[in-house]
Amino acid sequence: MASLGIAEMSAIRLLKQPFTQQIKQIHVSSALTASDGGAVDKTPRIKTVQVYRWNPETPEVKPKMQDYKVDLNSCGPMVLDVLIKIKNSEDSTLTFRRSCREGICGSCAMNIGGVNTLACISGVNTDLSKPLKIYPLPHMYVVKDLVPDMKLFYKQYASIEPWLHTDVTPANNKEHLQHTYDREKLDGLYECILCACCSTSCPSYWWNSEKYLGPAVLMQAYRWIIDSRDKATAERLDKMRDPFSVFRCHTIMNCTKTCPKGLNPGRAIARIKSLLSGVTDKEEPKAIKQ
Amino acid sequence: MLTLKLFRQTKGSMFAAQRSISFNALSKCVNQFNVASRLGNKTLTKPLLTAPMIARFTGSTAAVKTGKNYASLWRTERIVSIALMGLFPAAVLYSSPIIDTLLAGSISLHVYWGLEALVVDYLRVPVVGQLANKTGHATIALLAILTLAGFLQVIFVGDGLGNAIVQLWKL
Repeated sequence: MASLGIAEMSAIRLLKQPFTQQIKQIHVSSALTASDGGAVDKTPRIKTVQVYRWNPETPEVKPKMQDYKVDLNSCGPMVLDVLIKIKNSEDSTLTFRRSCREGICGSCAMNIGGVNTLACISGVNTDLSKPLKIYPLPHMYVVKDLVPDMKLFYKQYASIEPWLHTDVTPANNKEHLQHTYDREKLDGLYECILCACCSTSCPSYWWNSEKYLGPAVLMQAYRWIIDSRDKATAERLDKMRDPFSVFRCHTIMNCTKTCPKGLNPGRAIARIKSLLSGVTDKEEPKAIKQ
Repeated sequence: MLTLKLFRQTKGSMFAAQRSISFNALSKCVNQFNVASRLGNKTLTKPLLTAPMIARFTGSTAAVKTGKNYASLWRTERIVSIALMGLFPAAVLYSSPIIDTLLAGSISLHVYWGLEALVVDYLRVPVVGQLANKTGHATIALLAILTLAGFLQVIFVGDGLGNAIVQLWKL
């Protein structure tokens, strides 16, 4: 055995083990070699990060872009990791919202490199020659740094009454049942996390946010309009017949392009329009066989 | 101190007012919920449907609702846009005063609606003032009438809109 080299020894050890153990070994060894390769290249990868800063306690100071240098080698891969690193190690006054760090809460919506998206699920561009530019959501009142005032957005969301309106007592006295065919209509609508990326990317919403509801809120309105269990469809639609609530949408489709969850608010608005104008009608709910 | 800060970051009293309204609405909403939950589970959903939809959020809905029904106008806009696609080739192929007049009317309306959207979006009263907004609306109306008059002149004095398009193409 002594005459065998390390490679042969490990090969023999590998062959003696059960299959699953072998697979595990191979994975571990490949991971080790990969990390070895990374460890060799220890030159810091310094990325310039430009962040919008504004402090409400010094309102006389104009908003400005502040530069930070972050070594990408000692930082996570996402923009949110970079922001957290800056806040932890460089500048604790940097203010931003974040919570789930996995794209389900919608707190860290901001304008990154000109695109409204969630900081937690957008990777940092590893091209070190270009700075990473981070602004708050466009055309919103800024509370501080990257924190926008969402009051109007939430108010508009409340105005569409996003809950079930029905006077039907469910058959089993517990829950309103729904046919799977009707349930499928809610796919692509209920997943919205209300991060406001779409609404704040919409020029119509920029110009008329007091009167136009905006794509996020309209998609939720549509989610309740077409819900087969909801009985207030006519009332919901009647609230939107004015020239502004829905019809300020010019089908620009920035909303669909920017949505970090890959949803399509533009299509939902188009469907509200066709329901409003009587081109289409809401389908009757399908009967459920028990 | 907190309210002071809040006040400072808003620009002017309008938004401060909006804030206080939203707080009022919140308490109203909580009251509503309390009333509703006192009624018991069975009737919880009923007042939602029977009560006027906006009433429970008066003051909180930012949009000032006008009674106007825009849906039918929107449908007319779509119909005109779709008709235009057919009218252009029709006017060139079968040039007649009737088709030409239809085309002229549709184009003028289409242009008017398009420019009106621009005025509504970019000449907003809070930004440019009432006068500029009104002037904008008047200008595009005038422009649309002028366009229509020009087209009608070509149709009934000249040798038709369809032929004019052909002539333009020949240049």
